[in-house]
Amino acid sequence: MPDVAIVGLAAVFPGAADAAAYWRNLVGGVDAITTVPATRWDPVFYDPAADAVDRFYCRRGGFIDGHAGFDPVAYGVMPVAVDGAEPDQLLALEVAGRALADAALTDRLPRERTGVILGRGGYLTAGMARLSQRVRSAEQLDTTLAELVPGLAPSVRAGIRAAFATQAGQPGPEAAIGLVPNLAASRIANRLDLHGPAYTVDAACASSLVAVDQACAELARGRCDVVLAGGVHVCHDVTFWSVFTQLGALSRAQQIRPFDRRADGLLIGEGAGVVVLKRRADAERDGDRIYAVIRGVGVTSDGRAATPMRPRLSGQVAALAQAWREAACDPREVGMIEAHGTATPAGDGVELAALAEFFGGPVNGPAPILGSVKSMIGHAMPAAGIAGLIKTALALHHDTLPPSLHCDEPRPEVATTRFQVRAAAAPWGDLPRRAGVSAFGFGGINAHVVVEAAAGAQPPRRRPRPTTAPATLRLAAPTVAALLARLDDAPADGDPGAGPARLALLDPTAERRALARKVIERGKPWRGRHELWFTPAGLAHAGGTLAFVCPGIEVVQPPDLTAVAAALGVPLPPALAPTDAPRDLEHQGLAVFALGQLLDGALRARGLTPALYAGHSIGEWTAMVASGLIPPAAAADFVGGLRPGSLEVPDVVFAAVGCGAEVAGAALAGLADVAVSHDNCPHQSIVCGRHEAVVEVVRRLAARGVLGQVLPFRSGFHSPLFTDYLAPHRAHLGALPLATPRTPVWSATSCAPYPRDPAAVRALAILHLVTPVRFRELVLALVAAGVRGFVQLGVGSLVNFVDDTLRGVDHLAIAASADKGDADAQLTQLDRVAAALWVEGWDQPLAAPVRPLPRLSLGVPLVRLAGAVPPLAVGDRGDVAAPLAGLPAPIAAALADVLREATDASRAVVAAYAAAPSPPPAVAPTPSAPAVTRLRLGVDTHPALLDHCFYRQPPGWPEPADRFPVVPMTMMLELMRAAALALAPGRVAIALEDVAALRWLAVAPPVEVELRCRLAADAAGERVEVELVGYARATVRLAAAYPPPPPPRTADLASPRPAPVDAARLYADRWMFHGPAYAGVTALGPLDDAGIDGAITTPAATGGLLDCSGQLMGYWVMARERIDRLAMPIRIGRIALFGDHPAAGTVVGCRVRFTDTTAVAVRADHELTVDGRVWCRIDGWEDRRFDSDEVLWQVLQYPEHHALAELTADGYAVVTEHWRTVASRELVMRRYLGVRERADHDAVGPRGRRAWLLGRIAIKDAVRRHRWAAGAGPLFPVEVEVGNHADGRPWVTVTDGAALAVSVAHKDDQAVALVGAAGTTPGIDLERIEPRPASFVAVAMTPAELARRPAAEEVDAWLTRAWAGKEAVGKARGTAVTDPRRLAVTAATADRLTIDGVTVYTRRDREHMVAWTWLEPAP
Amino acid sequence: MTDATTPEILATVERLLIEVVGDELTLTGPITLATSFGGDLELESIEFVALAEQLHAHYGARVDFVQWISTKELDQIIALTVGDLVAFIAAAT
Repeated sequence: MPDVAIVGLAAVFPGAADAAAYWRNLVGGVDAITTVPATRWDPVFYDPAADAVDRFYCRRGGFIDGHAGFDPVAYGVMPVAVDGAEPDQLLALEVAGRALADAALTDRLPRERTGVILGRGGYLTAGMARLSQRVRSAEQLDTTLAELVPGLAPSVRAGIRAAFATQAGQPGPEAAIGLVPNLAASRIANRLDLHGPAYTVDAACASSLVAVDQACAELARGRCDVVLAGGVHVCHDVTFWSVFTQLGALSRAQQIRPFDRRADGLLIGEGAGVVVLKRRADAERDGDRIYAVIRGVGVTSDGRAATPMRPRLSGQVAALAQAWREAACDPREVGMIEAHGTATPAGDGVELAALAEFFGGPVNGPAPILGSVKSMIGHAMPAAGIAGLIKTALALHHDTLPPSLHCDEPRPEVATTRFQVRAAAAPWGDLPRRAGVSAFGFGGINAHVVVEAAAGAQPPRRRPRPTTAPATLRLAAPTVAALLARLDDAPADGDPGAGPARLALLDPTAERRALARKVIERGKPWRGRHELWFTPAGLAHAGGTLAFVCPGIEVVQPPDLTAVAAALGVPLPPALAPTDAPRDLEHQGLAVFALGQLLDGALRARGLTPALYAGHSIGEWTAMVASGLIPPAAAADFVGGLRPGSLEVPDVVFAAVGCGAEVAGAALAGLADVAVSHDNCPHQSIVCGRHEAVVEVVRRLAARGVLGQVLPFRSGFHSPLFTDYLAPHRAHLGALPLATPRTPVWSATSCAPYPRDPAAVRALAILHLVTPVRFRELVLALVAAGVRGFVQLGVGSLVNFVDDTLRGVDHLAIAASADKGDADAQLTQLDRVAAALWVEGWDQPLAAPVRPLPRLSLGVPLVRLAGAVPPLAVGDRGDVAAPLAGLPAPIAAALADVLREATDASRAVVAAYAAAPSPPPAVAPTPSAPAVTRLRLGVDTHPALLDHCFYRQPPGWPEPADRFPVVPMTMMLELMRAAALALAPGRVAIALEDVAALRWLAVAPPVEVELRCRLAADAAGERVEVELVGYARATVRLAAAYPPPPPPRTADLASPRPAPVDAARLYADRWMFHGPAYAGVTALGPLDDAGIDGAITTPAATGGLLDCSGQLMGYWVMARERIDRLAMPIRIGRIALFGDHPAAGTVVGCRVRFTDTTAVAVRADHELTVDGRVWCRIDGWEDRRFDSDEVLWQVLQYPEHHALAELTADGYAVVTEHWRTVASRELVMRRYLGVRERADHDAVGPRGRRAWLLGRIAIKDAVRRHRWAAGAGPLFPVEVEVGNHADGRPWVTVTDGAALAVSVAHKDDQAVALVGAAGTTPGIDLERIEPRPASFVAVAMTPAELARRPAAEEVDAWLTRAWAGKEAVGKARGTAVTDPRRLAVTAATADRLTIDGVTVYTRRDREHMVAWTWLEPAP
Repeated sequence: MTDATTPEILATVERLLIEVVGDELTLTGPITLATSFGGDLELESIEFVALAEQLHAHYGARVDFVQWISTKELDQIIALTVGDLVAFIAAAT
């Protein structure tokens, strides 16, 4: 067979919602085995002592509950069909779609020649089981009931039967069709429009590898060019468990230990995996990413064996031999075997014997490794083979050998093979990059696949550096203290360890180690001086992302990249050929592109990839190519055609000036033909213009003490002076070939990501030539979007610009090429970049936040009627024990109330006695006059607040106020503490008391606040009463020194359990809105009903540490509650401090214990410790809870994917209030409305605001749902702007350019909105059904209309319906209904009216009537 | 607020440098008259501009740092020491 390339893959397995998580778990050795969720099978079935077919001795396994999602919208499946459909079919579809996306084939798939072959068993899956319950068990229940209780009325029996059937799930054809097993594959072909063969294969546990075999055959014979192959198994049905229980195959120890001598059976797993396969030659031709290459496949059967259950050695050996023969590879050249390894003693024994026989016994040299992913996820049955193949492909792709778990005492036969089982991940080292994957099925079916690395099985020969390269010492540890402890002894090439605290030291001399010690002890990040990088917790760890930024044309020559190109194994681009002659603008420009591309490739080859690209001036074009926005095939033509030399404009020059754009702009006054062309950073901008004008500007600025220098280019690029020279570029850029970028690319013209629409991209690229480079604003916008790392791809000053712009913001900026030195110096610079990025945690691309998908319901729980029908009374009810029994009900109830009140009252008396106030202070306070200071707060002066914005908005969203940056209460505390201390020099603040936050302190636009302090004293000592006027107040207690820290008082949690998410997910998955500057929680949990523990790596941001303590408190509420999950601090009783504030980077232990939880507030005490010593105690921290339900919570967490309004089956959107309080309504208002819309909101009278807001939400959500249904991507509420025409009709504009007409109506606590599809004008009305006076009837309707009332309809409903219909027609026409009788109802059915020739649809929704219509545009 | 003596000027320059670069400067040893801006402190050009701004804010127009720098070639600027700057300030005040 021809070699077959794996070009894409996707997976959902226990513990892993996607392939990235799967790989993380594999490398990290994560054991994903858990106890069976009660929704899969009821705990009643578990009984370790029983010996029965319906009682299981084992209850642990691998489950994908919580990881199996399906996006119905993306695949054009009706959401209502999801509940009933067979979940494994939808999961297979989801995984197949993701695999195609991973292969970047979604848009360029040869659909006519694409097939799908999936391994799938014929077991009782959830959809089938539900159908069986509804059809068979319901009847069985009824029959049995009738036999047991002969007198039972038929109506009662029917009620019970109906209740049972309802609980068993939604019926419908979708549910029934799950019985047809091939649909798992055919549904994929149907939804993805694939025309090649699509079918399932069943070869028991060998199924997915047999599917891969079939796929390779389809590619070999040429019928398909692409095949999706894999397997799916989602079945934890009790019948399935019963089979394995009866076979005795499940582990009694409930632990799966492949190849361990204590192994006593398997645990059942599940999941789905799909690989995208192409002929290798095609994949290489098409430039596909190749994970690994399939060289050969073998499939055999055991023939007549002892039993179908007992595998036979000869059959397995035959399959191995077949595969390796087809691969034409020497079996001795193997690096890894992913074994079947089920952990049944018989199975493991035979498999080890087969491996020893085929591959031979131990040899000298490194032993290849043997493992089984079943040790982590259980046995995924028909999907087991694909789980192993994907694991192996990723191991080759990442050049890392993953571990196999629980083989602590290997069976003796392991030593007879040439393999070893490893418990930790390891590099492949000198092992051949070739592996075998086995899957052996019940009944004796054997499959084996030979896979090797894309670059071949030879261990890669790293080109030796021409000279000795300096070694890099890398160390990682969980804490700074642990890092320090390892510093002295650590060898430069040893295992770096793991943890957020990291150090990298190039060429670690004794002096540098000594400096490193000082730097670590200091505890603050250190970035690059003296070849040293250190951080207590990396920027990536806190959620920061990485940008590659491409510089524009520079004066200096490009560096010598010959060594970098050689190490990469590519020829040096001609544009970079070393030359002594100065390059002209043209060649300097071409060198800039070539340099950027080469450095991008060199970093990617080291596994360093950015989250986004951006550029400065023509560097933006480099960024467009590197990101894939300009497809690689077209890049050379594009760059060649740009002709950077043509950017030259006679007599026009640039000057760099050492001041911000504002100062530079002021120096232009009165001069013609000169403009600010580059806003680089606060201390540099560039002016561009006619030579004499530029010289004058430089002279003016020098007089003000500003450095300036005229640059040696003659060009008007980025200024209006270039407009006359635009024509050739307009033509070139207008014909620009564009693709969907693999990585987003941002524009320094718009300070936002490049748009999606190709025409808009081209327009922006042209605008870029004649408008200023807004690099400073771009950097701030990137920081607001979470970027904290900047790698400069080439020569230039971007690093300096970034550093200057981001003073006070924790970040990394580093150049990928060195300004000086020889060719080897460039390799060393790449080592520096690798070291710096490793320290910050950007060595592994961070998985994008997983978009939450609707969860598939995988289980068939026992039906419990739960009161749906009244229980039948059988015999005597027995004695009633309640003491009040026998009394008439009202009297008993009244008596109970009296007793309860009496008890409460006596408790209150006791409590009041215990809490009696201490005697009043002996010394009277001596208030002083208040001291007043004023302070300006804004995101420009306090950029860290960009990371404390309440509302996530689209990347690059221009209006900072829409993000709602607010000062955290804890920062207000710090401001108040500092103000108090300023009044009393030499003192320290030992406590803050009676802290109250009064309202949000929002800082966009910037605000000036006033701090009033009043010094006083009482028996407890000096105190300062501080007021942050209008926003917060507190009392600060002062003393000469801190009191000694008391012993920690907070007890361990009584029943600790791990937090459902880890600390990184806390931010990545948006439980917290905080950006990196406030993302200090580095360990989350454990927690229980009484509190939560965690660790905080002290952020540099003011108030960040206590804010993180508050985040732990807030997370506890979220983790426990399904409603009212959002909680914000409003009050703190007392904060006692026992030392100076810990320095940034210090790890602080934090324990939060709740004292009170009510519907509206939670109250807790906190204790923060540093190295076990108490630094701070907080008593009575109170968070106010914002009322919100599940729907609102989702909208707050993922606003771009969720909506409050539902789309009805009729096509209009309806929304009701998901909140009760004004505070929550304000929360929603700011979530939905942009800055201009909020002004509209404030102009509405207070009585009308509620309905007005609901109407706005209905419109925005109707539009968003409309766009989503049309395939649009994420859309935030602010991206749909709504306003009103002068005549009151609403208009909308959408950022994606969609032109839509809308209509809206509201009544009571409801609003409805309708989008006019395909150019139609919509009209909708909503009215309450209520009695109407005769006067209304006389005005609204003619007697003829009255008479058209359908016989079954009540009069009130009819009047309301007809009226709503007229309103709808009037709205659609855009004319007020002045004479309703002229809009006559001429025909009526139950759900339709004809009014003045227009068809109006109507729907009664309980107490309300909705009427709507769409009008075609007038011809 | 004239810093009459060399030690006083040096202390001022050190304080202004720390404002510009951060207190990490002091970890690698004290700043002396022999400390060079390029080789020892690895000062970036933007940091130089920021230092000029700090000097201007502290000493006012008397100390015309920009004019002084503009008379020097690039390699002279790289080789510049703290002592050179202190001497220049002493002469100007």
